[in-house]
Amino acid sequence: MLATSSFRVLNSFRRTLLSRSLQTSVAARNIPSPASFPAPPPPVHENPSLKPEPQQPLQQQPDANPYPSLDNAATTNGPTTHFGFRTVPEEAKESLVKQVFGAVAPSYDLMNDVMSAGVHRLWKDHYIRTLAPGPDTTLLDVAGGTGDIAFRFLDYVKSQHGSMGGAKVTVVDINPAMLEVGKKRAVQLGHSDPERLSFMEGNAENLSQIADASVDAYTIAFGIRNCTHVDRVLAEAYRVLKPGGRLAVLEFSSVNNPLLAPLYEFYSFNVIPAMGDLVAGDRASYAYLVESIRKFPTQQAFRDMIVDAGFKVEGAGWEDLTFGVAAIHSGFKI
Amino acid sequence: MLAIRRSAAVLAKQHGRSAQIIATVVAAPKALSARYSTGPEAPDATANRPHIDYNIHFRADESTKAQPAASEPLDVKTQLAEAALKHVLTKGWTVQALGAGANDLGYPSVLHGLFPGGGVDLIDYFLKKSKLEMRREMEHLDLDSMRITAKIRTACIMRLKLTAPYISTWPDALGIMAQPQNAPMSLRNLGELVDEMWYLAGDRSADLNWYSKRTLLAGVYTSTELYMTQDRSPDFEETWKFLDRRLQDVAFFGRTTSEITNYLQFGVKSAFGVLSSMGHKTPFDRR
Repeated sequence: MLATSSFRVLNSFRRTLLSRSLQTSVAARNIPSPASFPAPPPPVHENPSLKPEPQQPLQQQPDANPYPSLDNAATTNGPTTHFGFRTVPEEAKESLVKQVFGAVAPSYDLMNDVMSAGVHRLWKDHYIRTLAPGPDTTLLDVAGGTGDIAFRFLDYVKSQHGSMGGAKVTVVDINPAMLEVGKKRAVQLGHSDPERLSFMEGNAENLSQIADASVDAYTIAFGIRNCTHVDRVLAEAYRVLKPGGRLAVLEFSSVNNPLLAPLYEFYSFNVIPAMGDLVAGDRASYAYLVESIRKFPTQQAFRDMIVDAGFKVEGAGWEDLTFGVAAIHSGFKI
Repeated sequence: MLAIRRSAAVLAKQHGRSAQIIATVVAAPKALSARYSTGPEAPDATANRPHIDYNIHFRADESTKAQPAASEPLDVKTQLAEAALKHVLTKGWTVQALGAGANDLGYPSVLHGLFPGGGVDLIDYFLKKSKLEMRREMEHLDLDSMRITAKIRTACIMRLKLTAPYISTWPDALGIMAQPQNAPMSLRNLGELVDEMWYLAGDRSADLNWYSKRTLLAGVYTSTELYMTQDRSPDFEETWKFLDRRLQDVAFFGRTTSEITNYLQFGVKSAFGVLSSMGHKTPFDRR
């Protein structure tokens, strides 16, 4: 009798072991369970798709309208997109984003530190370690105006491979103000070799200055959610990458932990704009940052967009950082 | 009594059959055909252990069997792993080996990201591939006519020979596999390997034996593998001898497992005995 019961226990253990690999692969796909997320406060959460489509007039008004020139935006005919929680004409978003980042450029890095308590540095370090460039890697860093990723890339290559070899990085940003900050920092940090590090003003949706199949890796850190047409950005990334090249996107994502999600929600909507007001004297721009994070697709949806652009993804296709506050998405051109 | 006579008859029949098939052996690899001798020229601690039949038998129809069809084109990930394995001896089980492999294929080195874990994933690939290769090689043998020990020994040798080309970097791999975060990967691969070996050896047990056999074989395999990393003898002769000694030590088949079961039952029964002497009811009282 005893043997039978111990056999039963051991056998169930064995079955657990055998089915474990299957379970992990399901878990890794991060299938949301119905109860995993509390009811989202603003109704705009219901449609996180980035595809431009007509939306209801504003459902959550900011305290005061910081962009009075857009008062009649929602009534304009033609394609519209979102700008934070606001609905704006498609052609207006680009200049609005420019306006926001032009405004925050001088205090951008300081604010990143304040808002994330320095964690964004760890994310970016991990991002480059994940990419693990070789001594001959050519990197295109899009929306990388202040050079955070480019400098980390060069430092990584130097420390891992002893010398810089043929590593090259091109920083593209739509915003000249951000690029200016980056150039200044490059001089300060001793990365002034123009052969190795170059800055270029350009739009991620149309990288006409970059030739087809010319870069090994494409990075875009905390930039892609500000673009009007994410699908066009991904298509451009696919075009400029060499066969076998890697797309790596570091972006804010969604927190799926039911305990942490409400805390994160509170922090985003109450603490960050207040800190923006306090540190940078610009509440509206930081309110936009938070809203744009909420409008960005979830991990799974963004992974699907990467696959639709022609990339092959490995495993789940993304890696959550800090419970999904940010995530690294990867795609390979093979 | 009847049972003993029956098993004797079975043994006699098997020996008769094996004698026939040994004659059809075409070309046994050296290490496989090397038999461990317990004769007077090898007087060591194992001399008085029971002799084990290690004969291996090839299928009689092996020569006429068609070679496996030309392999289908591999996917990029497999190509990358295969290319990276060529760099393992110089670059170790690392991201750099994967990057160099990607360069060999004409891709940028950042393609190593197909193996997000880097060296660990490369080891994982190697272990899985080697297990399949071992099975393919084993399937060329006439397993039905071989003794269980011979099958297990052959499987171990075939599998270890696949590690042989990388033996100089294998201690590094073992070190990586022993890191706590990689333990699930290494244990899963070891479990699958010994399970495969037992399956090929014809084990279909569904009782406690299932566990004890796999545990014992896992011990034999890992210790032999460890020995192999330090073995400098030609063609790993010492490793195969070491393996034979380990196999004799455990002499799996029944004896050890029944001993373990006996120990367990004795322990439990005495525990219940103590309880019942103190006035508790136990399952053994009801008999």
